[in-house]
Amino acid sequence: MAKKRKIVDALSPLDAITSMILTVLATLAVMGAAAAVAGENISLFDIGADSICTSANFSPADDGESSDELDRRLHALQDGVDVHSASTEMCQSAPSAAQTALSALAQVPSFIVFVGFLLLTRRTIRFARRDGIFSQLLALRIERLGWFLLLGLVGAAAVEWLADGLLKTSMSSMGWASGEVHLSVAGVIAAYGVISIGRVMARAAALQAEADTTI
Amino acid sequence: MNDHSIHVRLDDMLQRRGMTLTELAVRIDISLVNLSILKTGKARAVRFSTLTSICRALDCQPGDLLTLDPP
Repeated sequence: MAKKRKIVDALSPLDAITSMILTVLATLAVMGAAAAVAGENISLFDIGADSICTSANFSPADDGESSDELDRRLHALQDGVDVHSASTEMCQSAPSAAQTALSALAQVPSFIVFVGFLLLTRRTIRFARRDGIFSQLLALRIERLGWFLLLGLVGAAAVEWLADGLLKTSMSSMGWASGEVHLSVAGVIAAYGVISIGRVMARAAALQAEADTTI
Repeated sequence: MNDHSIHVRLDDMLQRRGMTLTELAVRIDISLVNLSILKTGKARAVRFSTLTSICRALDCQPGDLLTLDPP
């Protein structure tokens, strides 16, 4: 019983840290929203911004001199060295409500997945503190946490790609422009790790149940 | 639900020896909770060391304690 209490108490700092991160995020979100509503020069996910920008995969118009030549002269490049410029940004001043919504939609889903993951993590930690760490239910919760992260990241990337594409399309008359894909590989690997840990813990819980009923 | 048909006749042996479960727990240094689990048939396995301690305390053989229920 003392060992179980020691293990459960070891989860207390994790609970505290997760709660602290969530509190900070909530505070920043509320402050940002309040400042945006109050008309300050602050925007929250581009909501309240005077202009919204998105990256574009084309070079700006020539100024009578190729950008390569200009770059070569500016940077005193040797023969055989090529320069590739960073992506260009398209910015819309006085965006419409639809463009503002699309710009927000191109950023918010990942944030929602991140906050959701933190909330579920905190719930899982509190469940473990209450019910102990060797239970099938806890193992199931951990596995579901991993699936939430994996499917959430993929879903968020898809929504953000679509919203970014629609935003780019609204800024030009050239038809559909593909959005940018931002899928966190580290996040996907972490999700796979969490799912694996959940499955290992399910087996551990079964073994513990056997051990608990061995006299 | 257990996946075996072994019945632990601890109650019978305790009665024969005129001993309570609490006295047995103290004598063999196993918690009353664990002995209750054994007595009520909820145990899934018994260590040989536990069986040895119980048999020595009750002066009996393992076969006196364990029976196989018919199918």
